[in-house]
Amino acid sequence: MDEHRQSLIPIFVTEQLERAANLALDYAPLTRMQLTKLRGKTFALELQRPHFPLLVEVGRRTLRFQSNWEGDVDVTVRGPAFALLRQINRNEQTPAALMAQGIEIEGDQELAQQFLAILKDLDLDLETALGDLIGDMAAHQISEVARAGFSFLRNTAKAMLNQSRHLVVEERKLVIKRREFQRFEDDVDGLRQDTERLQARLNKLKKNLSNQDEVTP
Amino acid sequence: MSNDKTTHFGYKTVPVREKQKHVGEVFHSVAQKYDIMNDLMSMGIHRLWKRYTIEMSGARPGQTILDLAGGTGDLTMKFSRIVGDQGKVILSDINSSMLNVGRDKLLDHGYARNIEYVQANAEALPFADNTFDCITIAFGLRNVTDKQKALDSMTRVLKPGGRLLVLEFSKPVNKGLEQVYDRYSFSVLPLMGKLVANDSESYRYLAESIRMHPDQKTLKSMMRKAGLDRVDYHNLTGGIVALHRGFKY
Repeated sequence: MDEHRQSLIPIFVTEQLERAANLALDYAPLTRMQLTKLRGKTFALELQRPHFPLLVEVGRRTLRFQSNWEGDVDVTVRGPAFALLRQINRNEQTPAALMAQGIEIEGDQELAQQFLAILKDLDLDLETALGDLIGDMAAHQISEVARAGFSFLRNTAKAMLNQSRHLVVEERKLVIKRREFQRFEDDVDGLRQDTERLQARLNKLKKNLSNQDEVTP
Repeated sequence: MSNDKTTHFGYKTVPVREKQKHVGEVFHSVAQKYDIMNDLMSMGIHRLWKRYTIEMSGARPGQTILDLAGGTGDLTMKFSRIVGDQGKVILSDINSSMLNVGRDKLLDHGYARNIEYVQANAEALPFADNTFDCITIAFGLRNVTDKQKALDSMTRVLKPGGRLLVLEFSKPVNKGLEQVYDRYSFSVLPLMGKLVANDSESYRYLAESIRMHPDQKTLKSMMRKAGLDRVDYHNLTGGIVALHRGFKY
């Protein structure tokens, strides 16, 4: 087919992603420095649900994004968009764990791990970014308030979680403790092993009895 | 006699030898406001059309690229980053005003190391055979007097395996869109040109020259005639613009 129709939406989205990523790198000098080790490498992300192909090429100081490309790439990561995004925040990155989520990696696996590790350690300096927009003093004040606010929210959430756990496990006893469950699981295991041993002994006895019947005239 | 031959300049018929002069006058007039008018007329969409062209170019570090009729250097800027220090981009335009605006803009943005500037006629490119990995001509071919001669010349200077990309206004594939587009082109564009660039005639020529330009299939057959293989085209924004691509083998 020589005639094609090309939507501009993926090109627009790719352009905005590239702009956002490079803007973020302006405020993440450590990440930018780490990325220089991967200069010239290409990473293809084939997102499914929604379908969206994206090629990321590491340049000298910037990342280049493309929605159309030809030729070989160093690493291709394929999978549902949501699973891929979730993977960035996870530590377990074994091939089995990735496959379980429908994520496939083709090409240099070590390079893929390196790239993901750099993204996970993104050292975005939001205070400086905000400072460029509204001035250093105001940005510092807002950042302080935001930090205090986040800290309060984090502590409150932690306290609520602990209190809820105490209520459910200790006071209402709606669920058992992990230790109790472990003990129960060990008991079931022991019982299963005893039953299997008994079954094996019975089979042996049955076999001996049938042999004796054959020998007796 | 070849001097008596005529061609179109927008909807007007002019002697072949005069078209280049008329087109030159148009671009001398619009050069300073070219970028802002492009943004206004296309509502910024020309940046996406050009971005798609870059993606389809398959440009790689170390390559040599010719940005023909490159005007204010939008494509050159992007190619310069891609080909890097080992590669080279040549920004070429027949019009000195456009080339000057392009060179100043690129220098202002810090692009200098791997870019060369050549004032040249696309019909007779002053380069050796098999020089370029990729040639692009964006919104330039319709202004060329002898388009077939220009395509032949581009094919000659392409390396075997290289590709030519022609980004140009074309024919909308939908009748409804075509009507809206016609109204926009002949009513809004000249008015915009009058208000922003104080030159409505040049923008009337723009609208007329688009209508006189070969449609997708005709341009494709011209590229094949020039000796290019695997020629295809990609309609953008409903065919208002089309990107033609062909390879030299």
